[in-house]
Amino acid sequence: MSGSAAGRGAVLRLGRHEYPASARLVMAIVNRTPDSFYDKGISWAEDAALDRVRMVAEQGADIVDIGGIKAAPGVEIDAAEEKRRVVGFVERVRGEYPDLVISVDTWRSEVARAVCGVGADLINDAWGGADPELPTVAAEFGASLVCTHTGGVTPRTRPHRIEYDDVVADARSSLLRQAERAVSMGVERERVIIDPAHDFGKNTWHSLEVTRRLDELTSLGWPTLVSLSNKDFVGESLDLPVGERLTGTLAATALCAWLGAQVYRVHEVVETRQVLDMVSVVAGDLRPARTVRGLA
Amino acid sequence: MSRSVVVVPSAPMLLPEYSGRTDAAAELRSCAVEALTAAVPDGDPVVLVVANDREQRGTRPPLGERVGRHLAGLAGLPVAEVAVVPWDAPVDRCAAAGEALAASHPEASVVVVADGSARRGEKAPGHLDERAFAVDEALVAALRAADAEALLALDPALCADLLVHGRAPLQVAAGVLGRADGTVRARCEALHTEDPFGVLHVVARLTLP
Repeated sequence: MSGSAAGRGAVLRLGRHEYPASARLVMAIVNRTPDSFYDKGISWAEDAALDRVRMVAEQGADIVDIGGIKAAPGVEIDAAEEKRRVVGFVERVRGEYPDLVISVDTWRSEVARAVCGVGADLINDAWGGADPELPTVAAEFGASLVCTHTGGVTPRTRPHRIEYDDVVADARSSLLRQAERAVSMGVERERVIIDPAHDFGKNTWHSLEVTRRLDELTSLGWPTLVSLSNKDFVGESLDLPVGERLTGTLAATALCAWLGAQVYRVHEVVETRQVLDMVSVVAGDLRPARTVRGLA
Repeated sequence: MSRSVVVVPSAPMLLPEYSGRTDAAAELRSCAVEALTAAVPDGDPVVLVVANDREQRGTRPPLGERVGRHLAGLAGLPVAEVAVVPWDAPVDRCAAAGEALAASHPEASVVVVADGSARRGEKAPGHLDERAFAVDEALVAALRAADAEALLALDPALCADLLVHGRAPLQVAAGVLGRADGTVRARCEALHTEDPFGVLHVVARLTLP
C-alpha cells in the first residue's frame, strides 16, 4: 500500500525498536516539574509521574518523554537539580518497562549522559543544540537524538519580535545542519529526528506556516517529530485558553500526519492515537481495525 | 472413490483483501477450508459452482468465484472448472446444468459457493424479513438430508426477495446429486451454519456414493 506520505519520512530507530517511514508514533509527555503550562505540576511527585507513565503506556503510547524543566521562563533549575528530578525516575521507569522507549527532554549534555547511563533511549533537545556536546553523548550511548529549530534563541526564552525571511527555509537549513553534524559526531543516521519546534522561536504565524508546509521538512529524508499539544499557536488560532485546545491540537495533528510527520509529542494519548490511526488508515498505511459492513 | 459436494459461503469478508487488522471471518474461513480438505483429502481438482453477482458494477469475476478459488487454494485444491450460473436462473436450467456437470466431470468433487438469506435481522444487509427464517430452514434441512428434490423446491422469486444468494448454485448441486445412483442416496457428513451479520453462512459437506 502507498500512503499520503509516500516519499516522506525515514526509517527510525529508538532503543531496540525500528519503525518504518509510514509509522506514526505517540510520544507522551511526562513532566517531573511543578510548573509546566498544561498540567501545572500534576505529576511533580515521583509516584504521580510513575502513575502517569503507567497510564500512557496502557493507553498505547510508543514513547514517554520525561522532562525536569518547563520550557517557559521561570525558576532557574541547574543541572544538579534537573538530574535529581529525572535520573532516578528514568531508572525506575526502565526497571518497570524494559521495552518502552524512554525519551528525556533536556538540552544539557551532563543530564543526557546521566539519563542515558540508566537506560534512556532518546534525547529530546528542545532548544536547538544550545549545548553542542549533546550529539557526543547520544553517539556514546547509541541513543537517538531530536534536533530542533528554535531560530537560535537561548533556552527558556519566549520569542519576541522574531522575523524570518522564510521560516520553513530557516528551519530546513538549521535542521539539516544539526542532523548532519550529529551523524558526523557518531550518532547513527536512523536515530536522528528533526523537529520544527512549533512556538519555539516562532510566533503563531510562523508555527502555522511550518504546519502548512511541513512536507518541505518531512521530505528531507529524516523522521520528523512535531510537538503541537495544546500550544499557544492553537490557542491563538481559535482564541481558546489552555484546557480548551484539544480539538485544535488534533486537527493540526491530522494535518501533520497527512504531511508525513512520524512522532507526536502529546498530553492526550488516547485521542492522538485515534487521530493518527485514522490518518494511517485513510492513507493506506494501516488496515482498518475490523471490516464487516457490506462484506458478510 | 467417493466424491463430494461441498457448500461454502461467498462472503467477500473471506477474501484477504477485505480483512481488517482483526480478521472477522477467520473461524468461518477455517471451517470452510476444513470441510474442503476433509472432502477432497487427496487434493484432486474440483469444480466450482457459483452465481454471478447480483450487484455487478465492475469487470471482476463474480465474488463467488473469487471466494471459491481462494478457499480451494487454501485447501490445496486445484480448480478444474468454474461453472457460473445466473443468480436468477430458472430451476430447471440449474438442474440441467448440474446434470451436465456430473456427466462431464464424473469423478470431480463439486464446490458450491452459496449463502442463505441476507435478511435475517434489523442490521442485516437487506434488513429483517421474517420469511427468511423458514426459507433458510428449508435450505439447511435439504442439505442435511442431501435431498435434491428439496433443494429444487426452493422458490426463485421468494429467494430473490429474501436475498438468498445461493439458490441457483444449490439447485445446480441438486442436479449433481440427482445423477447419483437412484437407490443409494448422498449423505450429509458435516453441516455448519451461522449468521452473526444477518446473512446465513453455510458450510456443508455431502458425499455421493
